[in-house]
Amino acid sequence: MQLSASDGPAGQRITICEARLDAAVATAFKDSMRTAMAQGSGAVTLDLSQVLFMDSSGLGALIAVLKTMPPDRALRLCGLTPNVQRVFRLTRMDSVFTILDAGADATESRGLHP
Amino acid sequence: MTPAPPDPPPPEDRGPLPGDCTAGFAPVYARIFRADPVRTRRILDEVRQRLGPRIDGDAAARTELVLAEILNNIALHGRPLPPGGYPQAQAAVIHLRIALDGVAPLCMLSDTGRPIPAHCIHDPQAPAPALLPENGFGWSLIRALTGRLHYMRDGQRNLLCFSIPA
Repeated sequence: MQLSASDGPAGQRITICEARLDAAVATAFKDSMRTAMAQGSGAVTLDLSQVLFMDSSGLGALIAVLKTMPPDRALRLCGLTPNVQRVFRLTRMDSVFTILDAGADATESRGLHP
Repeated sequence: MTPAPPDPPPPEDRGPLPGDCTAGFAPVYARIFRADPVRTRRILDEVRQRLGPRIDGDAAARTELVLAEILNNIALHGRPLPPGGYPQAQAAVIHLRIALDGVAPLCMLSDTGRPIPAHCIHDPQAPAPALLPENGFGWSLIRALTGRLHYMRDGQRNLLCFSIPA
């Protein structure tokens, strides 16, 4: 499971460098997130812009990550593609994740709202 | 991930399938395979390539999600369970057929796994988001995205037919 991570003024940014977040990689994704997050600090912005397909196992893996976030680290999602948005909307899990829209994400990346 | 071994043709999955909703419509795809997450990816990839040039991209994506949820369920819960016996070690055999009714996909899935619980088909309840559930979303997603969904148990196999609204 390929992730890329970088530290910025708004915290840690982790990008999923895979087209699919599904049952075949759900466990590997959780493991890779744990490793990546251990090397950073502050809020985590998870970039899903490369993920073109997500099933409910992929969603479950994101929920598992959310549940294990340390109390002092927030998790935010950005770059949701239409097929990923659909799964969040139909399961109503968009009500429990903090999802940045494209404009808000660009502002955050420039560090205007640290 | 190591490639899965080739599928032996399962004798129980040969012959006519009662209630096959794809019969009489333009065939797009037909495969017989065993349920596992890696093979599911390959099957979905093939389905996308077949449907992509023929129908709207959004309908193709909804078809892919429904098939992913069903195939994952079969791989997770569908190991064959003989009467009074223990679940078998080998994964269920799946027979997938897809046809087009105009630009609306019709799908038929038979599998040799355990019966699907009635509430999954008729009254799937999505888990409450606030409880942060990590699973249990599959059937409510399937119901939300399918048109006519029909299920029957035929001997030792499940037969599931559905349409995806264009």
